[in-house]
Amino acid sequence: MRDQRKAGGPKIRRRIAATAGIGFLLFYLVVSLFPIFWIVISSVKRSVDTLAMPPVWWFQPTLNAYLQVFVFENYGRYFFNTTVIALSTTIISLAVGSMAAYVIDRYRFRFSDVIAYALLATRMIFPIVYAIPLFLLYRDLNLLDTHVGLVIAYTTFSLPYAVWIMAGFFAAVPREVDEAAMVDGCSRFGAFYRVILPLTAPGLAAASIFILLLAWNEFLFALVLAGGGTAKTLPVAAAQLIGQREIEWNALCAVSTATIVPLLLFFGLVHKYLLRGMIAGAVK
Amino acid sequence: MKDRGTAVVMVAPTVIVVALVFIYPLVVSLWTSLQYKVLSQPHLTRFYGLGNYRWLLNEPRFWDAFGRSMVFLVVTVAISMTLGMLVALLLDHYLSHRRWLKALYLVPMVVTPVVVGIQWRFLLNAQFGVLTWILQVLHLPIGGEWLVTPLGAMFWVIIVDVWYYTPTVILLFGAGLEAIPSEIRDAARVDGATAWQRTRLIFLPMLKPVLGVILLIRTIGGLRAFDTIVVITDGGPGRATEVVNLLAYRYGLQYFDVGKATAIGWVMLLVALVLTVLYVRFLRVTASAA
Repeated sequence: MRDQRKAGGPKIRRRIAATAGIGFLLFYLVVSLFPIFWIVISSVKRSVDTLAMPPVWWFQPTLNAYLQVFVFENYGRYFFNTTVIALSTTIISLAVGSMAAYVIDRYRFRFSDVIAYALLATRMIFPIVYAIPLFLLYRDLNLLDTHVGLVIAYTTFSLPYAVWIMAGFFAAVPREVDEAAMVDGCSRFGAFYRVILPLTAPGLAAASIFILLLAWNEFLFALVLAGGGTAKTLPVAAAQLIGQREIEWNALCAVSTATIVPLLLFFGLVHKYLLRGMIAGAVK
Repeated sequence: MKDRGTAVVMVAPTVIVVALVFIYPLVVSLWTSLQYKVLSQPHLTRFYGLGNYRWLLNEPRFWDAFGRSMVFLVVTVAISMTLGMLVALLLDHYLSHRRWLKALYLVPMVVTPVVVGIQWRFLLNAQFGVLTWILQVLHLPIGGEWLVTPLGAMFWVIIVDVWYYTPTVILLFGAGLEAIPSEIRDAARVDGATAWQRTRLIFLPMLKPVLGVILLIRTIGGLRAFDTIVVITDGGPGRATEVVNLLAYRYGLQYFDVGKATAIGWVMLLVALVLTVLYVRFLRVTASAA
């Protein structure tokens, strides 16, 4: 009503503001997605087109670069390694972490502050501080260049997240639910596994995003603990590729695209849980 | 409680894993930082007291890297927070119900850091980078060749960090905005507050704790910047983008001087702790919100 009384002026000004605001949002979106878009389309260009100047926007697509790196070279192996390591880390962290989170929430160990600060501390500690001792320990235990070694390391890094996020979700389920399940003949573990865990599936989804991203994308520890051979992951392989053959941008774009496409698909599937996971702990 | 046994069994794996692969390396690295220890000269290993720390405080290369880290930190945090808040506010104002569209703004978050580095090197390549070309067309002399000058390298390393981490700010600040009850928004609107007034007088004061948390997360993240810098400049040209984290990596895993490397790590942990305490004091950030 107020607006109508004021008539023309403010209305026009507001329309200008809206155009500018939405224009800026669109501009930001284009700028922020363009680098990803460009590397994906460059991966299906012919080498001539990738290196063309000025850049080619319309071209004949080809899968040659993928054929080269994944069939004739070893990158299929690295992709497999990354997948195995990331999935194992995610599953183990969720299983181990949600058990711990359940106990912490239900038994009130007064652990929640400890976990909060532990999580903060893991963020603050410089990676080099534990990269070196872990490297020495792994060398003694013959865990260097093994899948298991990386899975163990990543599980440690992601456990605080798993525990933290899941504890938030468990807290939202009333204790009466556990008690009812146990009256019906479930053991404590049965109540957790058969009743509570299915109820908190969104929490598992939220935690899995963080853990999968961490394990899939991690670079420093993958380089230090498994940079040499059999368990080499995609990020390490890609970083080495840029050092060795900077000119082969097609191959680089193909490896890069293959590295991020699974993450983009996964993000598309579960993005709505991302936020819930991040604020699950914060709103308590 | 009679099922205490079950509880212990359920929590034990977490405790064991964290103790073995987290606390053990911490203790060992603290011990390492008190030793003269170069992996390639094992016979020279000896207890060194605070020698590594004393060396560090007198080493210009450390202070240069420290200064660069601080410049990098302040600039990238300032830009990404301003930009992220602006985008989140505009999204909240104009597109608050388009969830999938808002999700698109978060996409850079999931990209592998190494791939982020590769993609920007590709975009900025002096001969055929598409961004170099666009900047040439716009007559901006900041692409291509400029990347290999000290100032240009730092500029682009910061821009890439902003590109990568602004979505985190959008996500967290957007979550805070969404949590503001609609009654408060409606009341402000009925009272005739403009969008700018609502933002300045209601949203920002209400979201001060959220902003504190975002600032803390971004600060710690900024101190740890590594992967993208390694791929884009590898600390170069010369040492123009050699931040502290990169220096620690060089000492530890290229020169194998693990005593000095871990000392750098512990000093930086101290810096992070001091910053955290300052934030907690002045912004009332709580750990449980981070």
